[in-house]
Amino acid sequence: MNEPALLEAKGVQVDFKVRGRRLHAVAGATLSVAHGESVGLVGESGCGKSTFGRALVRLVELTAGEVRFNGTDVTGLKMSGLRALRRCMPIIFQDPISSLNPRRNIGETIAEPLRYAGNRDVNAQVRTATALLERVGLDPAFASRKPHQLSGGQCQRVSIARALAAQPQLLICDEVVSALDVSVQAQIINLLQDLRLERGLALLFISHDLAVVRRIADRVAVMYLGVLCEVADVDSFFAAPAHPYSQALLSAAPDMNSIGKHSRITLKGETPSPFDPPSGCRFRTRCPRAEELCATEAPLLRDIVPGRSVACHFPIRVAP
Amino acid sequence: MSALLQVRGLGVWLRNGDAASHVIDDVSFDIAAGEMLGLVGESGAGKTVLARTLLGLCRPGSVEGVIGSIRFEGHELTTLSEREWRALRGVSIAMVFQDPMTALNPVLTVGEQIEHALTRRRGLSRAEARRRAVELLERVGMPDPTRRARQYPVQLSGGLRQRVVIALALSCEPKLLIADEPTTALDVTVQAQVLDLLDHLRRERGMAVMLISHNLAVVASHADRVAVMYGGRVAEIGPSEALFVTPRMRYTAALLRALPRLHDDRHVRLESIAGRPPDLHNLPAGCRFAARCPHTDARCAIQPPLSGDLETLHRFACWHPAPVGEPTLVVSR
Repeated sequence: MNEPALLEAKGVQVDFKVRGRRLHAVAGATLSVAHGESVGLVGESGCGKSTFGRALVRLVELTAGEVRFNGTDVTGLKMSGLRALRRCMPIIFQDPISSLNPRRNIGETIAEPLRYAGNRDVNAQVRTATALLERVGLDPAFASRKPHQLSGGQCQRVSIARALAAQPQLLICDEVVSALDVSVQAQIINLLQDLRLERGLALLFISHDLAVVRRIADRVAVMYLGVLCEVADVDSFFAAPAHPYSQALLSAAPDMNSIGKHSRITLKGETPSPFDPPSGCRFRTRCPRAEELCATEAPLLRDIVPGRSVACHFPIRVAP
Repeated sequence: MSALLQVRGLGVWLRNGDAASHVIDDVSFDIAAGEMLGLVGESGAGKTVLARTLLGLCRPGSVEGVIGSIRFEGHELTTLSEREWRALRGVSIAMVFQDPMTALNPVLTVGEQIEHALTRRRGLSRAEARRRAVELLERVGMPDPTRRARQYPVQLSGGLRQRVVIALALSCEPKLLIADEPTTALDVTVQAQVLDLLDHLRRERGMAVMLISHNLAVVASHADRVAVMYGGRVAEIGPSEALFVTPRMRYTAALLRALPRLHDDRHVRLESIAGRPPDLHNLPAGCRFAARCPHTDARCAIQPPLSGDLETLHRFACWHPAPVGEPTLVVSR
């Protein structure tokens, strides 16, 4: 791959100050998304995956690191440049109802990115909104409704339609199907798949649900306490994860194939406080493979086989 | 063997403005001692109203109407007064809810909350209750229970708080534990710990558990039997393996095909179910899944399907059930 990536995040660090204490929500994460590629970012609550997604479009400011989108340095953008960036790389959030303006009708909401882009042609806005509503599987008559008249699944379709209005290249999806029922969740997953194929859209799909990520992603990145543990192609990742945390996460995920069976590896304890992360490798306090080295030296993300990088001193051996 | 809990023809109406909504309709099932029954369904299917009815929290007076029978150890519960319910609720039938923070008192230490339950409900002395509280915390896998007993709920993480709620529920040695989405607010690695704990406790103590969840996979890995609810009715009920491998009711079958799995062919499109669950305040006359079902005829729209003989192990309410030879799920062993 000589083509430069669509999105390149290098050493992204985001610190928050909470009551005078400094917290590294994201502690140096490097990840890229190629044109048309779908990358799944998984991890448990509080691991920093949403903060990372927000930092990419500077909804939270980076403390250190670099983000390049189409070669442009995002960290140096002024407000007008940022607005344009967020149209090319919109975020869709988990709660579909609260992410829509309750006082604005659906048609206006969907056409909003066009208005911000300087399109003053009202007829064109209506046409676009109608076409997008149809594309996401909603009746164009919904254009005159308000968000409270729609179900959660319908609101999520509206959020997707709005994100598509400005012809984006990359969608950042932050837990977009987590609040939806199974039957509706499948509709949204299929819609996102279709849109990807049709428009060559790239996705950064942030989710805690491994089975959903497996469906949508080409590559998977696993985050734990603000650092990436493993980045791998989706098929090889699910066949055999190399980082002990990835393995435990996969093993703990409930699955239909385990009727009457239990997870094989149950991690002890819970994620340590991000205010006071363990020295060395952040996972070592719960890791069954931890040794002395893990306490003194933080492992760096390195390629172990083509298409797979792992941040672990003692990764699980995997076939190339 | 007679069942520990026997529910027959249960119907619940909730007030909805001037009208009444029939949110639980003709629900019948049993739970045997030591059994784990999973109850699954999408939001609005009536799972939580059913749980609250079994706990006496939805009773005539607090809701528009309740019909049918709930028998627990042979005693009829639907006719109990609130005073009689108080002697039962939390003692013989205990509960664990989704959000462990709101289930705990924020201004008492977790130890004090368990001690209160033990002194008030079981008549233990203060000193005995204190010793027993630490024991209970230890049994639910609380690390460093003596120190943790002196802490307040805010000082504990979500997983540890849920362990406290479970310890509290176990304090009176209940015969039936109703766990309503007990792990939904927790991370997967912690969820696995809590589910294993519930499973261990019911095997160790012969306690029956009703595990309510919207997550089919959570239920599949732990429950002996599963009931699927849709639009206030039990759509299908049967042993976990039978129900998940050869679902008969069309809704269950469609739901299982819509579910992404960790070992399916990820390049095959998920089969989504068109439309959305029925509005409980405006339910259709016939089968409640009819509007979304591709296998309907005129009868489905007007006549609710029968759910079969209660003696049958695997019951389903469908006029056009999926044939048995059409497995939805290929289980790899």
